[in-house]
Parts: sequence; structure tokens; C-alpha cells
Amino acid sequence: MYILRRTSGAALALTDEHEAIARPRKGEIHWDELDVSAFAAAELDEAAELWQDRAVQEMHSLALFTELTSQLHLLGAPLDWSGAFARMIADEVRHTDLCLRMCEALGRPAAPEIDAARLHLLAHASPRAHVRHTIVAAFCIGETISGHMFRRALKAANVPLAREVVAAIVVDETFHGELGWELGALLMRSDGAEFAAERDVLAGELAPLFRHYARLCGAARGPTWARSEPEVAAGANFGTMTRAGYARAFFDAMESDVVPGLVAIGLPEAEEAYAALVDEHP
Amino acid sequence: MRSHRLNRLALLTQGAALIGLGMSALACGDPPHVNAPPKEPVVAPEPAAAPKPDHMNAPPPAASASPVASGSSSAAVNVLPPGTPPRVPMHVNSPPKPPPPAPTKP
Repeated sequence: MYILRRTSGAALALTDEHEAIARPRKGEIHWDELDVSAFAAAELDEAAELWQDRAVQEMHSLALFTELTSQLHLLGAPLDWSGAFARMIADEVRHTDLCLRMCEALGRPAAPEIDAARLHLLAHASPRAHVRHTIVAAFCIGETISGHMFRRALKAANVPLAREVVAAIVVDETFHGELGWELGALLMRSDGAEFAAERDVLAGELAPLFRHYARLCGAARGPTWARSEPEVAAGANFGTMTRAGYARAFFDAMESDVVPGLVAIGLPEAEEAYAALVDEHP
Repeated sequence: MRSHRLNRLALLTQGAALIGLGMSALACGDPPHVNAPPKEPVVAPEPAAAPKPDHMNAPPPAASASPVASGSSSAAVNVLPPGTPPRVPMHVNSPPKPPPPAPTKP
């Protein structure tokens, strides 16, 4: 376990370069304009917990994308994949940094613990089937759902600083979605019988993958419940939704983007897998 | 997803596969790479270790039990008490870990 720190604490060229990477790709963030005295301590505590949790999530994404990047040159991927992943890694550095800075702005600097053993780690020199599975899972499904959630969190946020931070993340999430689907499609190009076997295995993994993400998104109670409850609670909103709101984002993302996209790239089994998920908890 | 985007994705799946094509061997006499560390002696790879159990990002086992429900102490770190809603979905874009390969028969 280690405590995640933003910077090395000295005037270093590496920190300057990091700050340049961590700046939002579009827009500005006015860190000094949040008046914490306008909020109750409990509101600020809850907001800081939200953003610290997000910092840990983004750090996990950073680890996963770095691991994937380490496989590309072993699998013979074209150079533009490495370029695109370099951007992805930079984006996750930015997101982690934004979340930590948000906690500082709330007057509650975060010191999240990271358990390196729990970071998602691909096996060394993963075969392409594992890379394909991870990209379909993490990007086609995971990033697509995450993008939906952040766009809704942006609509929900009514604290200006939180809106600016979430907006910066949404800019990147849009590209992540595009990249994920492009990679997913390119990885579904066949080179013969070996690919066909890999495809069939991946198709069989869709149902457990959908259940996995439904669980992560608190969607186990089903779409009827998710769509009948308020998405957002009343009061100051630092960029979050209710549990039903997150669950609704999951179902909407699955129906509008994930399932049609997986079908388009050659996994028609996605429709049956999603129908089975909904049947379990209508 | 709009139909033109779906059509574009479908078209992208056509064409030659881009990865898993293997790497050609280096020709004899290639100049050494300046920033290449000395190579370790080649050893046979060890069998892949079983994934650590019960991570939040762990895949569901074959019986589709939730990793959260497994009851191990490592899962308990990230398991919320019953009835406590998660503040935010945990690791939304974290895929489950793939299951370990089947053991090789002697």
C-alpha cells in the first residue's frame, strides 16, 4: 500500500511537465474561486469523499492503460496505437490530478491509499486475446458507461468549480469512447481460424461482463427501478448523482451504445446477453 | 449510437488483422541499441500465477458468484456494509481480470 501524492514536493522539471500535461485540454479551471464558507461542513466532507474515490478510480484506469500500452509493441500494433495510448495515459494522469486538486480546493486534501496488488494488471506479454478482451471490457463497455455517467454528472453539478472539473474530464472521455470503439473494431479483424475461436470465447464472456459492470454501477435492481427514481438529489451538487441515477446511466449506455456497438463490431451475442441481464432484474 | 457510426465501426472490422502478426528476428550485425539494457539469460516462463482472489476488479468465477460475495478479507476492504449505497460506482471502467489458464497436465 502507498499514499498517492500529487507531486514530489520540490521545484523539478518533471513536476513542471506534469502540470503542463495535467492542464485541461479545453477551458480553464478557477481553483481559487470556490468559497468553502458557503457550504456546510458535511456537504464539503461528502464532496471530498466523492472526489477522493474518483482519484482512486482514475489511478486504477491509469494503471490499466499503462499496462495495455506495454503490450502494443509486443503484439505488432501500428505506431498510431502507441500514440493514442500515450494520450490516454496523459488523460488519466490529468483526471487523477484534477480529483486530488478538487479535494484540496474543498479544504480536505486527499491522501488516498493505493494497493498496488489491486491495480488491474495484465499478465506479462499477454496474448492478443487477453488484450482484445480487456479493450472490449474496459473501453467498449467500461469507458462508454463512464462517459455517460460523467456527462450526466456535468448536467447535475451546480457548483461552478465542480462543473469546470467535470467538464474537463468529459472532454477526454469523449475521445476515450471514440478510441475504444475504433480499437475494438480493429481488434475484431479476422486472420483465420484462431481468431474465430478467440471471438467465440469473447462472445461467451459478454454475459458475465455485463453482470460485472451492472454490479459496479449499482444497477442490480434493474432498469424499472433505476428509471423510476430521481437521478439527482436536491441541494449543492459537486458532480454526482443518486444511486438510481448511476444505474440509469448504466442501462441507457448499454442500450444506446454498448449493445449496438458490440453487434456492429461482430459480437451479435451482445443482444441476448443484455436481454438476459434485464430479465434477471427487470 | 447513430447508424452512420455503427456502419463505420462495422467497416473497420474488415481488412487485414493488425496485431498478433509476430515479430521478425533481428538481422545479424544490427548495431546495438544505445538505451537497451543488458539482456537477462532466457529462462522458461513460469506458469501464470493464479489471480489474487476477490478484488473489486476480479472476474466472476465460473459459477457467476460475485467477487464481493466471496467473503474474503481482501474483498471486505472495498465492500460496503449492507444497505450502504456506494458514493460513486467503483472502478466503472475496470474490467474483470481474466481467469487463469487451465493447469497443464504432466
